[in-house]
Amino acid sequence: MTTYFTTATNTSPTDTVTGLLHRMLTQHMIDAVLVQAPTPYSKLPLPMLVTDPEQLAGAEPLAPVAPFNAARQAAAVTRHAVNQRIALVMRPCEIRAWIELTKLNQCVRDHVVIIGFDCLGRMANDTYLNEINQNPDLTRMFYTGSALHANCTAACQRCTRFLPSQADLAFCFLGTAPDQPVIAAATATGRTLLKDLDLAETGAPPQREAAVTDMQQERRTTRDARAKEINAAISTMAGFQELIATCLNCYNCRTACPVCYCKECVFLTDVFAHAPETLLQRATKKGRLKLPTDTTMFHLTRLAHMAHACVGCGQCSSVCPSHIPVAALFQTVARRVQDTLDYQPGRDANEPIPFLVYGKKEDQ
Amino acid sequence: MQQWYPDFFDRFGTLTVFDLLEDYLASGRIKVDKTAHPQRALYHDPCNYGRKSRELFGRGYFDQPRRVMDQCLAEWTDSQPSRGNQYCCGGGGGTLLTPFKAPRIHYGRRKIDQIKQARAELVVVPCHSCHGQIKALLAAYEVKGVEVKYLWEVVADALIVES
Amino acid sequence: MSTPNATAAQSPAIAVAGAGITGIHSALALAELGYRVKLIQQAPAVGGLLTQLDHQFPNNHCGMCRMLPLLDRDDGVQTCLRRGIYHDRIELLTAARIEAVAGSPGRLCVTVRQTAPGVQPERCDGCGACEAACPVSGPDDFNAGLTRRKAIYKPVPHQTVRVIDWQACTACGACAEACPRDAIQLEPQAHTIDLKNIALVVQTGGARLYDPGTTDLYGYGSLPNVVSALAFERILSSSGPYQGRLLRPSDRKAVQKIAWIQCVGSRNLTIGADHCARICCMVALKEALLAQRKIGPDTSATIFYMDLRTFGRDYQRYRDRVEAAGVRLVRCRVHSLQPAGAGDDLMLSYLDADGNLQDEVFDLVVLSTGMQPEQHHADWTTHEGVLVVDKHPELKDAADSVIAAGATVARAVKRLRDLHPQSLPHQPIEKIKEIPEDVLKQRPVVCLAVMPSAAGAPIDWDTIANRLGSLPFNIVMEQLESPPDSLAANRLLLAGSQTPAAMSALIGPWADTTGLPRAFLETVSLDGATTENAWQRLGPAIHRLHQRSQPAQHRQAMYDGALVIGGGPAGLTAALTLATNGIATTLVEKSDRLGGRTDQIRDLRLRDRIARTADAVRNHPALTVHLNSDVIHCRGPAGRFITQLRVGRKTQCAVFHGATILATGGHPALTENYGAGRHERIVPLHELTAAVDAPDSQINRQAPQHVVMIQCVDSREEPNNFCSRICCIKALNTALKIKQRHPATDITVLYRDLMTYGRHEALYTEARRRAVRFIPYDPARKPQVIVDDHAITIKGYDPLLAEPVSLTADWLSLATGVRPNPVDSLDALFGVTMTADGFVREADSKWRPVDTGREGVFVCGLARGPARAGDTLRQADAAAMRALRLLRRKTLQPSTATARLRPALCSLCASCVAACPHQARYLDAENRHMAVDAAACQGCGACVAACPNNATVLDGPTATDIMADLETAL
Repeated sequence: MTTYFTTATNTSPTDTVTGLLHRMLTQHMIDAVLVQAPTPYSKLPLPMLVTDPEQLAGAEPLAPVAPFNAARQAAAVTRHAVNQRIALVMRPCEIRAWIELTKLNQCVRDHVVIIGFDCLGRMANDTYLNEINQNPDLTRMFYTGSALHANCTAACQRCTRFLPSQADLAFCFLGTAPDQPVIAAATATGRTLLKDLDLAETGAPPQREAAVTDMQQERRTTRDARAKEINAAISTMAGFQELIATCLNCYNCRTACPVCYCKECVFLTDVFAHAPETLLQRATKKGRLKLPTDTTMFHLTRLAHMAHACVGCGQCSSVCPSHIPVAALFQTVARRVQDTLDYQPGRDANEPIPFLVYGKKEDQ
Repeated sequence: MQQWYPDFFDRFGTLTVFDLLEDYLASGRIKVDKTAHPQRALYHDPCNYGRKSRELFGRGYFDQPRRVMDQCLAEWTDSQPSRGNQYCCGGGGGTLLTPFKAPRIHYGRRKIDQIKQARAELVVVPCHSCHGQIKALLAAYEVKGVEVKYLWEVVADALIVES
Repeated sequence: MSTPNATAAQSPAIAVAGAGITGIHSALALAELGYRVKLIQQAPAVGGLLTQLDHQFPNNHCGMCRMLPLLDRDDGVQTCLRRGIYHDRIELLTAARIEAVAGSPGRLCVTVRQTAPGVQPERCDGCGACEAACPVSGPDDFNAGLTRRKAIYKPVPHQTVRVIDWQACTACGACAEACPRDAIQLEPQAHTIDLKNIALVVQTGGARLYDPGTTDLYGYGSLPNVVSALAFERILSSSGPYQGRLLRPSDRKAVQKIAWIQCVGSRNLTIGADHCARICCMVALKEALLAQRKIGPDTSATIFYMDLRTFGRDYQRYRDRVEAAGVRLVRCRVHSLQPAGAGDDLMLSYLDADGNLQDEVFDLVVLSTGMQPEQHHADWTTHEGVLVVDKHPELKDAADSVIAAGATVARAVKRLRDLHPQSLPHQPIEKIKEIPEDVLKQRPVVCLAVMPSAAGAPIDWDTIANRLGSLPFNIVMEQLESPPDSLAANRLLLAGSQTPAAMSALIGPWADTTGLPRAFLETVSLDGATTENAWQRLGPAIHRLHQRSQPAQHRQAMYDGALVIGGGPAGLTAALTLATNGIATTLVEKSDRLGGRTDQIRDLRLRDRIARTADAVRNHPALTVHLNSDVIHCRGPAGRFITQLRVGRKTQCAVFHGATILATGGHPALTENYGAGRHERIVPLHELTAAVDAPDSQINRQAPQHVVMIQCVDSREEPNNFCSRICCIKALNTALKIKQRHPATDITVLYRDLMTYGRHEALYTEARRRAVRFIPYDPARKPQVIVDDHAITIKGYDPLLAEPVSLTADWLSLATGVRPNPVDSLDALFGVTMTADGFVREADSKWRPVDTGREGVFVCGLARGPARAGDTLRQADAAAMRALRLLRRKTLQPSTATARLRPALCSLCASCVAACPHQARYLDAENRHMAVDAAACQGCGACVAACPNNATVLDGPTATDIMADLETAL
C-alpha cells in the first residue's frame, strides 16, 4: 500500500531531493547516502558515498545520466550488514539489479533505505556532458518538459519499467505538477521516515495513472518494434553472427552489466584457455578458425546465465566499442525468457531465481 | 457310508458307480463304441460328488467320470470352470422338491451360460438332481437342441451288445 | 561377470545366495564394509522380480539403482541393476546354485553348480543374429507369457549378451553358425565350483508371485484378456510386449475399462491360502492410477476388494490420491468371470453398496496376485555358518527386503567379529592414489586398445586409424585381449563391444595390472556402433585422456563416533550394534530412563531382549549414555558432525561424530471421541490389551458379556491421515486372548479395512472361527457411542444387513494408533525432512528405507513410521549398518565424480546450495567460501550447472570434456 506525501516547498526537483537527503542526514535518520554527484574535475556525476550533509551541495541525483549501473557500487557498500543506516539513491533499473544481487548473496537489505524516483531516461555520457555544458539548467528542463527526452539512449526509449518498485520512498514526477512534488512511501520504513520528517500526507496524484499508462504505451510500441527487428535478425545462426560480427571479446558489456556478478568470468578461466592442440584441431576441422574463438559462445553463455535477470539498463550497449546493439539483443531475448518463466528481475526480493527451483513433484 | 458305519461295511464293502463303471470298462467286461454319440458333449461335476465329497471325505470324484467320458465319447468338452470350481446347477439341497422354483432357475443361469458357451448338444451329469434341474433350466431359458443324460446312460447307450 | 580386485585379497569372503533385492542389498552392504562377496544367482540375470516392475509405489517410478553405493563410488559401476551388478569386491556367478556347504564358519567350502551360459560375454557384441536364427520359441516368462522368446535370448531386455535356455535348446547349432564373432559354445555342461575359505553364507529368500494358473474361476488361461498383475505391469512397461501402450492381449485393442480383482491366491481357505499376499492392494492402486494417467479421462478403472490394505505410513494418502483421480473402489469379492457375449470382453457380477446385484462388462481384468510364501529351505541352509534371512517364510515387499538384508548383514558382521575378533569391518581400499610429478610431466601418449569383441565389429578400423593420425596427439593402436605387462603409452583407452557398465568394470583390473593411475584409463563401449558413430565415441575419449591431469580431491578427515538420539527399543538396539562393532557411541535420551515405550510391546521374548539390550548398553565401555539430555545444535558435513548436547539440564558437552541415528520414537495416541473419558470401561486399545495380559485385571477376573472394539479411531483421516499399522493385529490378538479365557464372551469389531496383512491374516481367520463379529463402517457414517446410567451403547450400521445396529457393551476399546514423539525443530537440527504427519521422511521408502535425505543421518523405529516391534529392531540394525559404512574410517577419499570448489573464483552466491539435491553444498563460514560435503556429494553435477563460472567443477566429466564431446559430434 502506497502512501503519498508532499513537501509543500517550491524548489527545483533536484533541490527537493537533496533537501530531503540533507534533513535525513542532519537528523541522523541515516548515517550515509549513496547519491550521484560530480567530482571537482568533471560535470559527469558519479556515485558518491556522502556522510557529511554539507557535502550534499552540488549532488545531481536526478541528472539524466548514469555513467554506469550503480547497483554494483551499491552492493559494495551493502555487502554485509553494518550497524549504520545507509540510503541508496538509485534509478529503477539500478534498484532492480541490486535486488537481484541480494538474491545472489552479493549484498543485504538490512539497515538500508532505498530511495527511488520516476526515471524518464538517461543520456549517453558524452551526450550529457555536451548538453550540460551548453545548458546548466538541463535537469530541471528535463523533468519539466519532454523536448530533451529524445536524447536518451535507445534502451531507455524502450523501457516500460520506469517506476521504482521495491523502493522505500520514491519521488514522483509523472502526473504531478512540477511545483507540487509528491513522494510515495511504499514500505513501513518509508512511511516512518517521511512522517518523522513532518511531511504531510496527500492523496494519490489524480493524473498519475494516466501519465504512467501513456508513457508505458509509448515505450512498449518502441520496444516491440525493436524486438521484431532483433527477432528477425537472430532467427538464423547466420543472422546472429552478423549481429555480433564486429565483437572484439573485450568483455566491456559483461563488465558494465550489473547482474553479471561473477568474481572472475568463466571466459577468463582455464575452461576457455584452449590448448594449442584444441585450436589446431578446430582449425583443421573447418579449414580455418577465427581467433579469438568463442565469441558467439560468450554471448550465448551470457544470455543463458543472466537473461532471466536482465533489467534493461542498456549499459552494455553504452560501453560497446563496436556499437553492437547488445542491449537490444539481450533485452529482447530476456523478455522472452522472463515471460516464459513468469519471472521479473527485481520485482520481489523473495522470488527465487527460477533455475534454482525444483519443480514440484506431482507424485509426492 | 464307510466312514459312518465302518463295522457294517467291513463285511460288505462299498463301491461308487464310478468305481464300478471304470472297473467294468478296464477289465473289458463291457465294451463301448465311441461313435455312438456324435453330438458335442459337455460334462458337469455335481457338487455332492465333487466339492462336498472332497470336503467331507477328503476325496472328490473329478477324474474318474472324465476317464469314463473319454472311453465313451470320441470328443467332449470340459466346462470353464470345472472340477472343484464347477458352477453349481442350483438344483441341489432338495430345492427341486420345494416351491422355490424361480430362485433356483435364477441360480442356474450361469450353468446355461456355460452350456451355451460350449455350444453343447448333450450335457452329461452323474447326479439325479442335476439332471432334473438342468432339464428345467433348458426349458425355462428356452434353450433348444440340448439333450441331458446320466453318465451311466451314456455308457449304456454306447454299449456294444454282442448278439 | 566381474572379477574382484586382487589387492582386496585379505578381507574375508562371504557367499550370498540369491541376487534379488535382498541378495543385492546384502552383497553391496557387505562389500561397502570392505568384505569380499561371492554373489550366487540361480537365474541368468540379477534383480529377480523387481526387474519386471518399472513402476513402484508410492512415487510410481523404479528406483532400484538407489541401492548402489553412495560412498566409494569408484569401487563399482553405477548402472541400472537390470544390466548387472559391478563392484570390485563382488564376484557374480549367474546360472549357479549352491549344492553343499561344508567345513566350519570362517573356513567354509561352498560347492556351487554353475550352468554354462552358452555365450561368451567377452566376445559377444549383442548383434542378435543368433536369436534370429534360432528355430525354437516358447512363452517369455519375463513378459508373463504375453510374448514369446527363443531358446537363445536376453534374460532381461536391458542386457546385451544373450544366454541359452538349455531346457528349450535343441542343439541344432543354428545360433553358433550365425554368430559372426564365434561367441557361442553349444556345450550345456554344468560344472562344479568349490569356493574355499568362505567365512559365512547368507541365504536370501526368493520372491515369487502367486501363479493364478490354477484359479479357473477367473478363466485365467482360457478366457482372453484376463491377466495377472505381473502381466499388467509388463503391459505398462515401455520394454514390455506393447511398448508401454495399454492394449489387451486378444485383439490388441486399446483398453479403456479395466477391473482389478483382489485377493487372488490369498485369503482363500479353499486353496489352503490362509495368508494375505501383502502387496497386491497397493499394486492395484498404483496400476489403476497409472492406467488412468496413460489412457486419460475416458478410463474406467475399478478395484474389487474386501479390505484395502494400505497399512504403510503414506499409503492412505496414496489411496486418497487414487480415488481422487477417479478410480472406483468397490467392496465386494468377485466370484468369477464370464465371457460377455460373443466378443473378447469380460463380465463380472458384484453387489453394490445398496446390496443390488450388478453385472458389468470390462475390456480387461487384472488378477491381483501377490507374494507367495516360499515353502522350503535346502538342506545346506542348516549348516553352521549359514545365515538365513527369514527363518519362517515371510511375505515381504521391497522395503522389508532391504531392511531384512541390513539386519542380516548386522548378524553376519557380528558372526565375523566372533570368528576373528581383530577383523572389524575394513577400511575400504583406497583407489585413488597421487600421481607422481614425473609421471604427470610426461607427454601424454594414448594407447587405444581394441578388444576382441570390437575387433570383429562392423567398424572400418583403417578409417579410424587414419582419423587418429590426423589428430595432434600421440596415439598408438593395439589389439589387446587382456592387460599387457608393459605398455608403450601412459594413457589407455579400452574399446570393446560390451555394455558401458561392463566396460567400466574393466578399469580396476586393468589399472592394477598395468600400473597406470586409474585416472589415466578410460573405456568406450562400441556396442552396436558403425564406423561413424564409433568415431563419435572414440574421438572425445582420446581428447579427454590427453588433457586428463591429477584428480585434485584431497582426503578429508572423518570422525568415527556415532550419536544415537533416543533410548527406546530402536535407539538401544542401534547403539549396541554400533558399540559392539567398535564405534564409540553416545546415546542421548530425553527422559530419565532407558526403554522408551517397551511397555507397549506384548511379545515377551522381545521385551526380554530389549531389557537385555538396555543392560548391555548401560555397561558397554564404548557407549556413553546421557539421560535427561537433548540436542542444542548440530553442525558440519557428513562424517564430521559436531553436536552440542545439553546434558542433565545443567551442563553442555560437544560430541564429534561421523553419523547420527534418529530414534526419537512414538507413543500411543489418546482420543476424546467415542465417549472416551466418560466411562471407566471405554479405553484406548493399548490399555485393554495391557489389561488382558495382566493376570489380576478386572477383565480377566470377571468374564465380560460383550466387548466392542472400534478401529481407526482418529486415524486415516485428517489431521492424522495415516494407518498406524499395528492396531488391527493388536485388536485381534487381544480378542483371541479374551476368547481363550472367556469363550462365551461376545466380541464385535467395528472396522474400516482390516489391516491383517501377510501372515497376520491367520489371526483374522481364527477370530472368525471363534465367532468374533466384524462390522465394517464407512468414515462418513461412524459409530455413535452413547453413555448413560453407566451403560455403553454403540450405534452403528451394518452394510451387509443394510440395517442400523445397536450394540450394548461392557467394554469398549478404541484403537487410536500411534503418533511420533514431537521433537522441536528435529528437521532444522539435523537437516532432515518431516512428512505431513510428523514422521522423519526417509530418503526412499523402498530402496533406502532407513537413510534420510542427508548422508550421515539415519532413522529407525517409530520416528520413521508406525511399525511393529520386530520390524523396529530390524530397522535399528539396518540403520546401524548404514552408519557403519561411514564410520571406521580415519579419512574419506572422495570418489572421482565429486564436485570440487576453486575458491578463488567463488562469488559466494550460494546457487550451488540451492541446486544440490543431496544437501552436499554448504558455506564454510570459517574459510569464507562455499564447500562440498564430499561424503554426501553424488557427482550429479547440478551445482556445476548452476555455477556460472566453473568455480565448482566435477572431475568427470569436466567442462572441457563436454566441449571435446560436442566438437567431435559437430
